[in-house]
Amino acid sequence: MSESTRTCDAERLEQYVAGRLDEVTRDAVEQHVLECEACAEDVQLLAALRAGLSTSRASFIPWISAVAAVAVLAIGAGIVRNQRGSVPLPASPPAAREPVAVQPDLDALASFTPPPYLSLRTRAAESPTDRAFDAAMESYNAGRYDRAADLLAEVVKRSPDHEAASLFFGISLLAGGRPADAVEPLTRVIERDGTHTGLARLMLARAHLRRKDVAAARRELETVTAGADPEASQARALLKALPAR
Amino acid sequence: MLRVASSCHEIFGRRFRRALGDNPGRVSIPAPRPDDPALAVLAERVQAGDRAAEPELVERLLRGVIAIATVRLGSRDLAADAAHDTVVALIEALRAGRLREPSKVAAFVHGILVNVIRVSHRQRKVERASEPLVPELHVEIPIDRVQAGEEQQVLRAALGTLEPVDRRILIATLIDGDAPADIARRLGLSAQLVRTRKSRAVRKVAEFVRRMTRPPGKRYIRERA
Repeated sequence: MSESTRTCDAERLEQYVAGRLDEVTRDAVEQHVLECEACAEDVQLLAALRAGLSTSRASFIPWISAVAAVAVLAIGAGIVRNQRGSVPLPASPPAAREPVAVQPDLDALASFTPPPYLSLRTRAAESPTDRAFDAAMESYNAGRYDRAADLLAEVVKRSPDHEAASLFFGISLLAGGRPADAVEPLTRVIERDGTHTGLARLMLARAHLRRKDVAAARRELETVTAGADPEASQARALLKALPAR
Repeated sequence: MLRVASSCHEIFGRRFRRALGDNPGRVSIPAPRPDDPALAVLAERVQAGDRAAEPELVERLLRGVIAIATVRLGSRDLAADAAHDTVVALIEALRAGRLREPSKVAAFVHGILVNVIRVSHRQRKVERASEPLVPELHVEIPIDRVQAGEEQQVLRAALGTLEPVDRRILIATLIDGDAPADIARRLGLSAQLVRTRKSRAVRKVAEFVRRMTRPPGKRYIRERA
Protein backbone atom coordinates (compact mmCIF):
# COMPACT_ATOMS: atom_id res chain seq x y z
CA MET A 1 0.00 0.00 0.00
CA SER A 2 1.50 3.35 -0.92
CA GLU A 3 1.87 6.05 1.73
CA SER A 4 -0.63 8.38 0.05
CA THR A 5 -3.40 5.80 0.12
CA ARG A 6 -2.76 5.06 3.80
CA THR A 7 -3.52 8.60 4.82
CA CYS A 8 -6.69 10.68 4.81
CA ASP A 9 -6.58 12.31 1.40
CA ALA A 10 -9.84 14.09 0.55
CA GLU A 11 -9.14 14.35 -3.17
CA ARG A 12 -8.19 10.69 -3.32
CA LEU A 13 -11.55 9.84 -1.76
CA GLU A 14 -13.33 11.98 -4.36
CA GLN A 15 -11.48 10.17 -7.13
CA TYR A 16 -12.43 6.88 -5.50
CA VAL A 17 -16.14 7.79 -5.38
CA ALA A 18 -15.96 8.99 -8.99
CA GLY A 19 -14.46 5.59 -9.98
CA ARG A 20 -11.25 7.17 -11.28
CA LEU A 21 -8.66 5.06 -9.45
CA ASP A 22 -6.77 2.09 -10.82
CA GLU A 23 -7.49 -1.26 -9.20
CA VAL A 24 -4.44 -1.31 -6.92
CA THR A 25 -4.98 2.21 -5.61
CA ARG A 26 -8.70 1.58 -5.21
CA ASP A 27 -8.08 -1.51 -3.07
CA ALA A 28 -5.56 0.40 -0.95
CA VAL A 29 -8.00 3.26 -0.43
CA GLU A 30 -10.72 0.79 0.52
CA GLN A 31 -8.51 -0.86 3.12
CA HIS A 32 -7.81 2.56 4.58
CA VAL A 33 -11.54 3.34 4.61
CA LEU A 34 -12.16 0.16 6.59
CA GLU A 35 -9.64 1.29 9.21
CA CYS A 36 -10.52 4.99 9.30
CA GLU A 37 -14.07 5.87 10.34
CA ALA A 38 -13.60 9.52 9.38
CA CYS A 39 -12.82 8.60 5.78
CA ALA A 40 -15.67 6.08 5.78
CA GLU A 41 -18.04 8.91 6.71
CA ASP A 42 -16.59 11.10 3.98
CA VAL A 43 -17.04 8.35 1.41
CA GLN A 44 -20.68 7.86 2.44
CA LEU A 45 -21.40 11.56 2.14
CA LEU A 46 -19.62 11.85 -1.20
CA ALA A 47 -21.42 8.76 -2.54
CA ALA A 48 -24.78 10.24 -1.49
CA LEU A 49 -23.87 13.54 -3.13
CA ARG A 50 -22.82 11.75 -6.29
CA ALA A 51 -26.13 9.88 -6.44
CA GLY A 52 -28.06 13.10 -5.83
CA LEU A 53 -26.12 14.95 -8.53
CA SER A 54 -26.68 12.14 -11.03
CA THR A 55 -30.42 12.17 -10.35
CA SER A 56 -30.74 15.95 -10.44
CA ARG A 57 -28.73 16.18 -13.66
CA ALA A 58 -31.02 13.59 -15.28
CA SER A 59 -34.23 15.20 -14.02
CA PHE A 60 -33.01 18.63 -15.11
CA ILE A 61 -33.22 17.62 -18.77
CA PRO A 62 -37.05 17.79 -19.06
CA TRP A 63 -36.87 21.25 -17.50
CA ILE A 64 -34.31 22.34 -20.04
CA SER A 65 -36.52 21.00 -22.83
CA ALA A 66 -39.56 22.83 -21.52
CA VAL A 67 -37.70 26.09 -21.00
CA ALA A 68 -36.00 25.74 -24.37
CA ALA A 69 -39.35 25.19 -26.07
CA VAL A 70 -40.74 28.34 -24.46
CA ALA A 71 -37.56 30.24 -25.35
CA VAL A 72 -37.75 29.16 -28.99
CA LEU A 73 -41.36 30.35 -29.16
CA ALA A 74 -40.41 33.62 -27.51
CA ILE A 75 -37.47 34.18 -29.85
CA GLY A 76 -39.71 33.32 -32.80
CA ALA A 77 -42.28 35.84 -31.63
CA GLY A 78 -39.53 38.41 -31.12
CA ILE A 79 -38.32 37.91 -34.69
CA VAL A 80 -41.86 38.41 -35.97
CA ARG A 81 -42.15 41.62 -33.95
CA ASN A 82 -38.75 42.89 -35.15
CA GLN A 83 -39.62 42.16 -38.73
CA ARG A 84 -42.83 44.07 -38.34
CA GLY A 85 -40.85 46.98 -36.92
CA SER A 86 -38.25 47.15 -39.68
CA VAL A 87 -40.21 46.13 -42.76
CA PRO A 88 -42.91 48.48 -44.11
CA LEU A 89 -46.30 47.13 -43.28
CA PRO A 90 -48.59 46.20 -46.15
CA ALA A 91 -51.52 48.51 -46.63
CA SER A 92 -53.91 45.89 -45.46
CA PRO A 93 -52.08 43.58 -43.04
CA PRO A 94 -53.28 40.01 -43.18
CA ALA A 95 -54.41 38.50 -39.91
CA ALA A 96 -51.64 35.90 -40.10
CA ARG A 97 -49.01 38.59 -39.65
CA GLU A 98 -50.35 39.69 -36.27
CA PRO A 99 -47.83 39.25 -33.42
CA VAL A 100 -47.90 35.77 -31.93
CA ALA A 101 -49.13 35.75 -28.35
CA VAL A 102 -46.68 33.44 -26.58
CA GLN A 103 -48.15 31.36 -23.80
CA PRO A 104 -45.99 28.85 -21.96
CA ASP A 105 -46.99 25.27 -22.56
CA LEU A 106 -48.63 24.40 -19.23
CA ASP A 107 -48.18 20.68 -19.78
CA ALA A 108 -44.46 21.23 -20.34
CA LEU A 109 -44.25 23.34 -17.19
CA ALA A 110 -46.12 20.66 -15.25
CA SER A 111 -43.85 17.88 -16.48
CA PHE A 112 -41.64 16.32 -13.84
CA THR A 113 -39.58 13.28 -13.06
CA PRO A 114 -41.27 11.44 -10.18
CA PRO A 115 -38.88 11.48 -7.23
CA PRO A 116 -37.38 8.02 -6.80
CA TYR A 117 -38.31 6.21 -3.66
CA LEU A 118 -35.16 4.75 -2.20
CA SER A 119 -35.66 1.54 -0.34
CA LEU A 120 -33.15 0.73 2.33
CA ARG A 121 -35.02 -1.64 4.59
CA THR A 122 -33.45 -5.05 4.34
CA ARG A 123 -35.55 -6.89 6.82
CA ALA A 124 -38.98 -8.07 5.79
CA ALA A 125 -41.83 -5.64 6.23
CA GLU A 126 -43.56 -6.33 9.51
CA SER A 127 -47.20 -5.34 9.06
CA PRO A 128 -49.59 -6.06 6.18
CA THR A 129 -49.71 -2.31 5.53
CA ASP A 130 -45.92 -2.12 5.29
CA ARG A 131 -45.89 -5.09 2.95
CA ALA A 132 -48.58 -3.55 0.74
CA PHE A 133 -46.71 -0.24 0.73
CA ASP A 134 -43.44 -1.96 -0.20
CA ALA A 135 -45.15 -3.78 -3.07
CA ALA A 136 -46.68 -0.54 -4.32
CA MET A 137 -43.37 1.29 -4.19
CA GLU A 138 -41.69 -1.47 -6.17
CA SER A 139 -44.16 -0.73 -8.97
CA TYR A 140 -43.60 2.99 -8.47
CA ASN A 141 -39.83 2.69 -8.75
CA ALA A 142 -40.27 0.52 -11.85
CA GLY A 143 -42.24 3.35 -13.48
CA ARG A 144 -45.54 1.44 -13.38
CA TYR A 145 -47.44 4.38 -11.94
CA ASP A 146 -50.94 3.09 -12.72
CA ARG A 147 -50.21 -0.14 -10.88
CA ALA A 148 -48.57 1.75 -8.03
CA ALA A 149 -51.61 4.03 -7.76
CA ASP A 150 -53.95 1.02 -7.55
CA LEU A 151 -51.86 -0.58 -4.79
CA LEU A 152 -51.37 2.67 -2.89
CA ALA A 153 -55.12 3.31 -3.02
CA GLU A 154 -55.52 0.13 -0.98
CA VAL A 155 -52.84 1.21 1.50
CA VAL A 156 -54.43 4.64 1.93
CA LYS A 157 -57.85 3.05 2.35
CA ARG A 158 -56.46 0.78 5.07
CA SER A 159 -54.29 3.45 6.71
CA PRO A 160 -55.56 6.95 5.95
CA ASP A 161 -52.84 8.40 8.19
CA HIS A 162 -50.00 6.87 6.17
CA GLU A 163 -48.51 10.13 4.94
CA ALA A 164 -45.95 8.64 2.55
CA ALA A 165 -48.62 6.42 1.00
CA SER A 166 -50.92 9.40 0.38
CA LEU A 167 -48.04 11.42 -1.05
CA PHE A 168 -46.86 8.74 -3.44
CA PHE A 169 -50.47 7.88 -4.30
CA GLY A 170 -50.93 11.47 -5.46
CA ILE A 171 -47.62 11.49 -7.33
CA SER A 172 -48.44 8.16 -9.00
CA LEU A 173 -51.81 9.47 -10.14
CA LEU A 174 -50.20 12.62 -11.49
CA ALA A 175 -47.44 10.70 -13.23
CA GLY A 176 -50.04 8.30 -14.62
CA GLY A 177 -51.93 11.17 -16.26
CA ARG A 178 -54.76 11.56 -13.71
CA PRO A 179 -54.17 15.06 -12.31
CA ALA A 180 -57.77 15.55 -11.18
CA ASP A 181 -57.62 12.37 -9.06
CA ALA A 182 -54.24 13.43 -7.62
CA VAL A 183 -55.69 16.54 -5.98
CA GLU A 184 -57.46 14.75 -3.12
CA PRO A 185 -54.55 12.64 -1.74
CA LEU A 186 -52.08 15.51 -2.14
CA THR A 187 -54.46 17.87 -0.33
CA ARG A 188 -54.72 15.32 2.48
CA VAL A 189 -50.93 15.34 2.88
CA ILE A 190 -50.93 19.14 2.98
CA GLU A 191 -53.68 19.18 5.59
CA ARG A 192 -51.62 16.89 7.81
CA ASP A 193 -48.83 19.47 7.65
CA GLY A 194 -46.16 16.85 8.16
CA THR A 195 -42.73 16.44 6.64
CA HIS A 196 -43.96 16.13 3.05
CA THR A 197 -46.05 19.32 2.85
CA GLY A 198 -43.71 21.22 0.53
CA LEU A 199 -43.38 18.37 -1.92
CA ALA A 200 -47.14 17.75 -1.82
CA ARG A 201 -47.84 21.41 -2.60
CA LEU A 202 -45.35 21.35 -5.47
CA MET A 203 -47.03 18.27 -6.91
CA LEU A 204 -50.47 19.76 -6.36
CA ALA A 205 -49.38 22.86 -8.28
CA ARG A 206 -48.36 20.61 -11.16
CA ALA A 207 -51.72 18.84 -11.01
CA HIS A 208 -53.44 22.24 -11.25
CA LEU A 209 -51.25 23.20 -14.21
CA ARG A 210 -52.20 19.98 -15.99
CA ARG A 211 -55.81 21.01 -15.41
CA LYS A 212 -54.99 24.49 -16.80
CA ASP A 213 -55.85 26.07 -13.46
CA VAL A 214 -52.95 28.53 -13.33
CA ALA A 215 -54.39 30.57 -10.45
CA ALA A 216 -54.64 27.53 -8.17
CA ALA A 217 -51.13 26.42 -9.17
CA ARG A 218 -49.81 29.89 -8.41
CA ARG A 219 -51.40 29.86 -4.94
CA GLU A 220 -49.70 26.57 -4.05
CA LEU A 221 -46.33 27.68 -5.40
CA GLU A 222 -46.48 31.00 -3.56
CA THR A 223 -47.20 29.15 -0.33
CA VAL A 224 -44.17 26.93 -0.87
CA THR A 225 -41.87 29.85 -1.66
CA ALA A 226 -43.07 31.69 1.45
CA GLY A 227 -42.10 28.77 3.69
CA ALA A 228 -38.88 27.00 4.52
CA ASP A 229 -39.60 23.81 2.61
CA PRO A 230 -36.70 22.37 0.61
CA GLU A 231 -38.90 22.60 -2.50
CA ALA A 232 -38.91 26.42 -2.32
CA SER A 233 -36.29 26.89 -5.04
CA GLN A 234 -38.14 24.58 -7.45
CA ALA A 235 -41.40 26.35 -6.67
CA ARG A 236 -39.77 29.74 -7.29
CA ALA A 237 -38.45 28.61 -10.69
CA LEU A 238 -41.86 27.25 -11.67
CA LEU A 239 -43.57 30.40 -10.47
CA LYS A 240 -41.31 32.51 -12.67
CA ALA A 241 -42.15 30.41 -15.70
CA LEU A 242 -45.92 30.77 -15.25
CA PRO A 243 -47.78 33.01 -17.67
CA ALA A 244 -48.33 36.58 -16.48
CA ARG A 245 -51.51 37.23 -14.52
CA MET B 1 -29.35 -11.60 17.81
CA LEU B 2 -26.73 -9.16 16.65
CA ARG B 3 -28.61 -6.16 15.43
CA VAL B 4 -27.02 -3.20 13.72
CA ALA B 5 -28.96 -0.06 12.93
CA SER B 6 -27.72 2.68 10.72
CA SER B 7 -29.27 5.66 9.02
CA CYS B 8 -28.34 8.30 6.52
CA HIS B 9 -28.67 10.89 9.24
CA GLU B 10 -26.06 9.18 11.32
CA ILE B 11 -23.87 8.87 8.30
CA PHE B 12 -24.10 12.61 7.76
CA GLY B 13 -24.13 13.47 11.46
CA ARG B 14 -20.50 13.06 12.36
CA ARG B 15 -19.36 14.67 9.18
CA PHE B 16 -21.48 17.69 10.05
CA ARG B 17 -19.91 17.93 13.44
CA ARG B 18 -16.46 17.75 11.96
CA ALA B 19 -17.29 19.93 9.00
CA LEU B 20 -19.07 22.56 11.03
CA GLY B 21 -16.89 22.50 14.10
CA ASP B 22 -13.94 24.71 14.86
CA ASN B 23 -12.36 24.54 11.44
CA PRO B 24 -14.14 26.86 9.01
CA GLY B 25 -11.97 25.74 6.12
CA ARG B 26 -11.25 22.21 4.97
CA VAL B 27 -12.84 19.46 6.99
CA SER B 28 -10.49 18.42 9.74
CA ILE B 29 -9.37 14.85 9.41
CA PRO B 30 -7.84 12.90 12.25
CA ALA B 31 -4.41 11.41 11.90
CA PRO B 32 -4.26 8.18 9.92
CA ARG B 33 -4.44 4.97 11.83
CA PRO B 34 -2.84 2.31 9.66
CA ASP B 35 -3.25 -1.18 11.01
CA ASP B 36 -5.52 0.11 13.75
CA PRO B 37 -4.37 -1.73 16.88
CA ALA B 38 -7.86 -1.56 18.42
CA LEU B 39 -9.19 -3.40 15.39
CA ALA B 40 -6.51 -6.08 15.72
CA VAL B 41 -7.22 -6.49 19.43
CA LEU B 42 -10.94 -6.86 18.77
CA ALA B 43 -10.26 -9.43 16.06
CA GLU B 44 -8.03 -11.39 18.43
CA ARG B 45 -10.68 -11.32 21.12
CA VAL B 46 -13.28 -12.68 18.69
CA GLN B 47 -10.86 -15.40 17.59
CA ALA B 48 -10.34 -16.29 21.24
CA GLY B 49 -14.08 -16.85 21.63
CA ASP B 50 -15.05 -13.56 23.28
CA ARG B 51 -18.64 -13.09 22.06
CA ALA B 52 -18.86 -9.64 23.62
CA ALA B 53 -16.18 -8.44 21.20
CA GLU B 54 -18.20 -9.43 18.13
CA PRO B 55 -20.69 -6.53 18.12
CA GLU B 56 -17.85 -4.12 18.95
CA LEU B 57 -15.84 -5.30 15.98
CA VAL B 58 -18.87 -5.16 13.69
CA GLU B 59 -19.74 -1.63 14.77
CA ARG B 60 -16.15 -0.54 14.29
CA LEU B 61 -16.05 -1.88 10.73
CA LEU B 62 -19.60 -1.39 9.55
CA ARG B 63 -19.39 2.22 8.40
CA GLY B 64 -16.46 1.48 6.14
CA VAL B 65 -18.03 -1.71 4.80
CA ILE B 66 -21.28 0.11 3.92
CA ALA B 67 -19.36 3.03 2.38
CA ILE B 68 -17.34 0.77 0.10
CA ALA B 69 -20.31 -1.41 -0.83
CA THR B 70 -22.37 1.70 -1.67
CA VAL B 71 -19.68 3.00 -4.01
CA ARG B 72 -19.05 -0.38 -5.62
CA LEU B 73 -22.69 -1.43 -6.00
CA GLY B 74 -24.26 1.98 -6.59
CA SER B 75 -27.25 1.14 -4.41
CA ARG B 76 -27.71 1.53 -0.69
CA ASP B 77 -30.15 -1.34 -0.69
CA LEU B 78 -27.65 -3.74 -2.24
CA ALA B 79 -24.91 -2.22 -0.07
CA ALA B 80 -26.89 -3.06 3.07
CA ASP B 81 -27.22 -6.65 1.86
CA ALA B 82 -23.51 -6.84 1.08
CA ALA B 83 -22.62 -5.38 4.48
CA HIS B 84 -24.83 -7.93 6.17
CA ASP B 85 -23.23 -10.83 4.32
CA THR B 86 -19.72 -9.50 4.88
CA VAL B 87 -19.97 -9.10 8.64
CA VAL B 88 -21.67 -12.47 9.02
CA ALA B 89 -18.92 -14.14 6.97
CA LEU B 90 -16.28 -12.26 8.96
CA ILE B 91 -17.60 -13.40 12.32
CA GLU B 92 -17.91 -16.94 11.01
CA ALA B 93 -14.29 -16.86 9.81
CA LEU B 94 -13.00 -15.39 13.07
CA ARG B 95 -14.89 -17.91 15.16
CA ALA B 96 -13.27 -20.62 13.05
CA GLY B 97 -9.83 -19.04 13.62
CA ARG B 98 -9.18 -18.35 9.95
CA LEU B 99 -7.46 -14.95 10.43
CA ARG B 100 -3.73 -15.68 10.69
CA GLU B 101 -2.50 -12.14 11.34
CA PRO B 102 -4.91 -10.07 13.42
CA SER B 103 -3.00 -6.90 12.46
CA LYS B 104 -4.18 -7.48 8.88
CA VAL B 105 -7.86 -7.62 9.78
CA ALA B 106 -8.72 -4.71 7.44
CA ALA B 107 -7.20 -6.54 4.48
CA PHE B 108 -9.03 -9.70 5.57
CA VAL B 109 -12.38 -7.89 5.72
CA HIS B 110 -11.66 -6.24 2.40
CA GLY B 111 -11.12 -9.65 0.80
CA ILE B 112 -14.45 -10.90 2.13
CA LEU B 113 -16.26 -7.74 1.04
CA VAL B 114 -14.83 -7.85 -2.48
CA ASN B 115 -15.99 -11.45 -2.82
CA VAL B 116 -19.47 -10.59 -1.56
CA ILE B 117 -19.66 -7.66 -3.98
CA ARG B 118 -18.53 -9.90 -6.82
CA VAL B 119 -21.34 -12.34 -6.01
CA SER B 120 -23.80 -9.46 -5.72
CA HIS B 121 -22.72 -8.14 -9.10
CA ARG B 122 -23.31 -11.59 -10.55
CA GLN B 123 -26.69 -12.13 -8.98
CA ARG B 124 -27.60 -8.43 -8.47
CA LYS B 125 -29.20 -9.62 -5.31
CA VAL B 126 -27.66 -12.04 -2.88
CA GLU B 127 -30.23 -14.61 -1.95
CA ARG B 128 -30.36 -15.06 1.74
CA ALA B 129 -30.15 -18.60 3.05
CA SER B 130 -33.11 -19.52 5.18
CA GLU B 131 -30.79 -20.56 7.98
CA PRO B 132 -28.25 -18.12 9.42
CA LEU B 133 -24.69 -18.72 8.22
CA VAL B 134 -23.44 -18.62 11.78
CA PRO B 135 -25.45 -20.48 14.39
CA GLU B 136 -27.04 -18.17 16.95
CA LEU B 137 -25.95 -15.12 15.03
CA HIS B 138 -28.27 -13.07 12.92
CA VAL B 139 -27.43 -9.62 11.70
CA GLU B 140 -30.08 -7.11 10.73
CA ILE B 141 -29.41 -3.76 9.20
CA PRO B 142 -32.85 -2.13 9.37
CA ILE B 143 -32.99 1.29 7.77
CA ASP B 144 -36.18 3.35 7.68
CA ARG B 145 -37.28 3.46 4.05
CA VAL B 146 -39.52 6.47 4.47
CA GLN B 147 -36.74 8.33 6.24
CA ALA B 148 -34.30 7.35 3.52
CA GLY B 149 -36.75 8.55 0.87
CA GLU B 150 -37.15 11.85 2.71
CA GLU B 151 -33.42 12.26 2.96
CA GLN B 152 -33.01 11.68 -0.75
CA GLN B 153 -35.55 14.43 -1.41
CA VAL B 154 -33.81 16.71 1.05
CA LEU B 155 -30.47 15.97 -0.56
CA ARG B 156 -31.83 16.92 -3.97
CA ALA B 157 -33.32 20.09 -2.55
CA ALA B 158 -29.99 20.88 -0.88
CA LEU B 159 -28.22 20.49 -4.20
CA GLY B 160 -30.79 22.88 -5.67
CA THR B 161 -29.62 25.60 -3.28
CA LEU B 162 -26.08 25.55 -4.64
CA GLU B 163 -24.87 28.15 -7.08
CA PRO B 164 -24.62 26.75 -10.64
CA VAL B 165 -20.84 26.98 -10.61
CA ASP B 166 -20.66 24.95 -7.41
CA ARG B 167 -22.95 22.30 -8.87
CA ARG B 168 -20.70 22.16 -11.93
CA ILE B 169 -17.66 21.73 -9.70
CA LEU B 170 -19.31 18.90 -7.74
CA ILE B 171 -20.55 17.18 -10.90
CA ALA B 172 -17.11 17.47 -12.51
CA THR B 173 -15.47 16.12 -9.35
CA LEU B 174 -17.81 13.34 -8.29
CA ILE B 175 -19.37 12.19 -11.55
CA ASP B 176 -16.78 13.00 -14.20
CA GLY B 177 -13.83 12.48 -11.85
CA ASP B 178 -11.98 15.59 -13.02
CA ALA B 179 -9.06 17.06 -11.08
CA PRO B 180 -9.39 20.58 -9.59
CA ALA B 181 -6.80 21.91 -12.07
CA ASP B 182 -8.85 20.67 -15.05
CA ILE B 183 -12.09 22.06 -13.62
CA ALA B 184 -10.35 25.35 -12.89
CA ARG B 185 -9.11 25.62 -16.47
CA ARG B 186 -12.59 25.06 -17.87
CA LEU B 187 -14.27 27.49 -15.51
CA GLY B 188 -11.58 30.15 -15.67
CA LEU B 189 -10.88 29.90 -11.94
CA SER B 190 -7.80 29.05 -9.93
CA ALA B 191 -7.41 25.45 -8.74
CA GLN B 192 -7.34 26.70 -5.15
CA LEU B 193 -10.65 28.51 -5.63
CA VAL B 194 -12.16 25.33 -7.08
CA ARG B 195 -11.03 23.41 -3.98
CA THR B 196 -12.41 26.08 -1.67
CA ARG B 197 -15.77 26.26 -3.47
CA LYS B 198 -15.99 22.47 -3.49
CA SER B 199 -15.40 22.20 0.27
CA ARG B 200 -17.85 25.00 0.94
CA ALA B 201 -20.50 23.39 -1.27
CA VAL B 202 -20.12 20.04 0.50
CA ARG B 203 -20.47 21.72 3.88
CA LYS B 204 -23.50 23.69 2.70
CA VAL B 205 -25.26 20.53 1.51
CA ALA B 206 -24.34 18.72 4.72
CA GLU B 207 -25.70 21.55 6.85
CA PHE B 208 -28.92 21.76 4.79
CA VAL B 209 -29.55 18.04 5.15
CA ARG B 210 -28.85 18.21 8.88
CA ARG B 211 -31.40 20.98 9.36
CA MET B 212 -34.08 19.35 7.25
CA THR B 213 -33.91 15.74 8.38
CA ARG B 214 -35.21 14.10 11.46
CA PRO B 215 -33.00 13.58 14.50
CA PRO B 216 -30.92 10.43 14.26
CA GLY B 217 -32.44 7.20 15.36
CA LYS B 218 -30.85 5.15 18.07
CA ARG B 219 -27.91 3.15 16.89
CA TYR B 220 -27.59 -0.09 18.65
CA ILE B 221 -26.01 -3.45 18.48
CA ARG B 222 -27.11 -6.16 20.76
CA GLU B 223 -26.46 -9.79 21.24
CA ARG B 224 -29.22 -12.31 21.06
CA ALA B 225 -30.32 -13.25 24.56
